[in-house]
Amino acid sequence: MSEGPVLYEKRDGGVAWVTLNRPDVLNAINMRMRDELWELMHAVRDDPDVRVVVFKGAGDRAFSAGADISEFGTAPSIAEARRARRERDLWGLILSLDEVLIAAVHGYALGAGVELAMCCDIRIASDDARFGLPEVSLGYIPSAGGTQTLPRHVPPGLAMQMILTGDPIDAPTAYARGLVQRIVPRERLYAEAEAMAKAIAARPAAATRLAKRAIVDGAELSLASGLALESTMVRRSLETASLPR
Amino acid sequence: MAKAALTERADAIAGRIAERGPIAVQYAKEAVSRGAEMPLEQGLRYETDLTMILQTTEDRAEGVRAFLEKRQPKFKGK
Repeated sequence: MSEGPVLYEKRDGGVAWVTLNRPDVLNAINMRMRDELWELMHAVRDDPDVRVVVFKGAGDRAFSAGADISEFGTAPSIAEARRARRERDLWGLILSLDEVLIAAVHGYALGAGVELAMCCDIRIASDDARFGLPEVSLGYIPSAGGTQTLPRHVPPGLAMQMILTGDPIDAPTAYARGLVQRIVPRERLYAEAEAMAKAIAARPAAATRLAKRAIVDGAELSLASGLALESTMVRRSLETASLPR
Repeated sequence: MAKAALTERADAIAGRIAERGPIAVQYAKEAVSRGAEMPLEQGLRYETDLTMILQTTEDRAEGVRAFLEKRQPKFKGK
C-alpha cells in the first residue's frame, strides 16, 4: 500500500473500510490525513449504501500513534489555529455520523489514534494493542476529544490515571475496563471486525440508525427524557418498518 | 495488592504525574472533571479552548522540542 494517507474501500453488504495509511510513521495523523478524513466522512454521511464503517491502521505496528508532532507549531497564530479547528471539526463530524463506526485496533493506539477509536461506536482490539494518551508528557493535553470521551468509556479514576500519567494500558486491561468490547488474536482481527460490521449492516437500516441515535443522544439526557426519546424512536422505527427499504 | 506494594505503586503513579508538564496536568484534570458535568459538545469545546491556551506555554514548546530531539523534556511550569 503506497497510495494516499487514507485508503477507502467499499465492500458488499453496506460495509466500508477506512485505512490510516502512513505505516512508516505509525500512521501518525497529519494535516493531509485529517483533510482526507474530513472529505471522506462527508462522503460516508451522504452515501446511502454505506451503513457500517470499519477503521484500521496499515502496517504491523500501530492503529495510529497519534498526531504528527513534526507539524506542530505550523499554524500562523493561536487565533488562526482555533478558527481552523472549529471550522473543520473532524472529531465532531465523526461523532455526529448516523453510520455505525467500528475501530479495529492493533499495536499502538495513542493520542489522536485512540481518540479516533473512541469516536467510534465499538472497538475490537488484537491482543497486542496498547492504548494511551501521552499528551501531558509533551506539555499539552489530549485535543481530539480524549479528555471528554475517555471518561465516558472507562471509570473516571482510570481516565484520570491514563490522562494524568500519560502511560498506556494493554489490551487485557482495556477489555476488562470496557474501553474495548472484544479482544481477538492478531490474525483474526479484521475477519472479526468484518463479521461484526456485516451483521450490523444486515439489520434494517432505519432501526440501526434510530437505535444509535437513542443511545448517543440519550446519554446526554436525564433517564426520563431518554426514555421519552426512546419511545419516539420506537414509533418512528415502526413507521419505517412498514415502508419498503 | 500487598501493603508494601501499595505504597510503591502509589509512589510510582505520583512520580509519573510529577514528571509531566505541570500546567498540562492541571488543565487535563480540569478538562476531565469540569467536562464530566457538561454535555459532550460543550466538553469538547472546553477541551479545545484549554488546548489553545496551552499552545502559548513554554512547556508545550519544550515538550514538543524534546520529543523531536528524542530527549527528556525540562518543564518549568511556564
